[in-house]
Amino acid sequence: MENRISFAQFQALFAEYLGIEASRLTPEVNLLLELGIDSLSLVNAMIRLEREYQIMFSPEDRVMTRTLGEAYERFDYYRRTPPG
Amino acid sequence: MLNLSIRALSYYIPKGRMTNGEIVDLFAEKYCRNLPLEDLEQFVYGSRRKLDFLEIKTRSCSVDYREDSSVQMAVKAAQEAIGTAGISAGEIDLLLFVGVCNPFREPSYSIILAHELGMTRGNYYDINDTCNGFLKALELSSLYISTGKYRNILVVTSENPLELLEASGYTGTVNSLEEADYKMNLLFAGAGAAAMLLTADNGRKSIRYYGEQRNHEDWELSLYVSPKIHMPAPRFEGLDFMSWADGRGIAANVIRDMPGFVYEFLEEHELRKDSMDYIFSHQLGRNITNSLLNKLEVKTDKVFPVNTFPENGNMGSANIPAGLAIADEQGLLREGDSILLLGSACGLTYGAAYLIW
Repeated sequence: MENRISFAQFQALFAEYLGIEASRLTPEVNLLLELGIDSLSLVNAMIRLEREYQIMFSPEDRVMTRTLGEAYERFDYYRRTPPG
Repeated sequence: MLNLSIRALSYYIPKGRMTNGEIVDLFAEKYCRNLPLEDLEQFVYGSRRKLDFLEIKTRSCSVDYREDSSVQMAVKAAQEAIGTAGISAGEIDLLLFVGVCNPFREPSYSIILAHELGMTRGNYYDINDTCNGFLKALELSSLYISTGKYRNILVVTSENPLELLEASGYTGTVNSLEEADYKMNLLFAGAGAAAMLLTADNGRKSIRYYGEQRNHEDWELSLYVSPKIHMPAPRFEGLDFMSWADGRGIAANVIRDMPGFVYEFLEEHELRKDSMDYIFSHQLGRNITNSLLNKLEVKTDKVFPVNTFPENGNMGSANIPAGLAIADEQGLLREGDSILLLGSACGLTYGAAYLIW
């Protein structure tokens, strides 16, 4: 498995996927409610993250309604946790 | 102010369920034949995950169209409502059919339904207000009842989108991943029917107010049309699909504009959002519903206790009446509960109705 992805790297990934400035993506920001990101774009970003980093979010994580920091925590957890 | 009571309310949802995987595989097989293998894999993976993230697990569908066609679903719902009301079909003064997935141009759906129900008198016709049809029918019914022209009005809807797709022979192809985003909106659609018998307000299950807001500027955001029909917009020239939708555009418009409409409706009728017992939003898609309710700052305990979307998908104009009927059936509604119904429909139209259970 690749080295852990830092929050700064995760932040940069999301900025690239969503086409917005990384400085707006603080750990506390709620992507849907505060930045006006449409949910389908956010879904596409998460799908891209899954395929590129070989993880799979659980629907129960409700990542879409969380802050970026919480999304990173779940991402990091799945990166560190072996599948199955 | 409307002059309506709900004398009877019923629903019918067929027993079949298609999982996200099954519907995506079906669409991939029928529509994505031209995609390169790598894109096809991306489509399958991306579509399945999208459905997972948007909180849909299955969508309702017919197991056997000989028993659960659109018309048979409508008949079942209508007969139950008539029976619950304790009247005969001969006592229905007006039958309104309001479904979006209406396969009949001639005769109208309501004529067929009237025949199936054995109506011996009365009037019957269809209205098309897309997913807002059921709420719009409340306003129409009140107008008729208030003038004394009709006493018993039966509003019926039946949505069976997969039946229409099958009957169309799955016309159309997806030629790129970008196209897939616009042509796959029916991945969310589910089957369901509902019927409501309306009479003059007798103080019980009263429907008090209805309001709407329309904007035709964005009519292109969602289409359900005859394939290859000439469209008054160049970008749709040669569209070989009967269904097309810009999900992002719809979501953006609804989330941006609908809250303002809701607040205007509340203010016009001197209602307070926080005094509502329940707020029930049309199940267009959980992402839109959740975002709308968040923007309206609706507290969790105010969210309508029935959520049909995860199991049944978007049942179009049947979402709201079926949800009400299920809540009633499960004893989740108490006499006197105040309920705000919120409808949104492509076109774009926003509708709201306020009722006291």
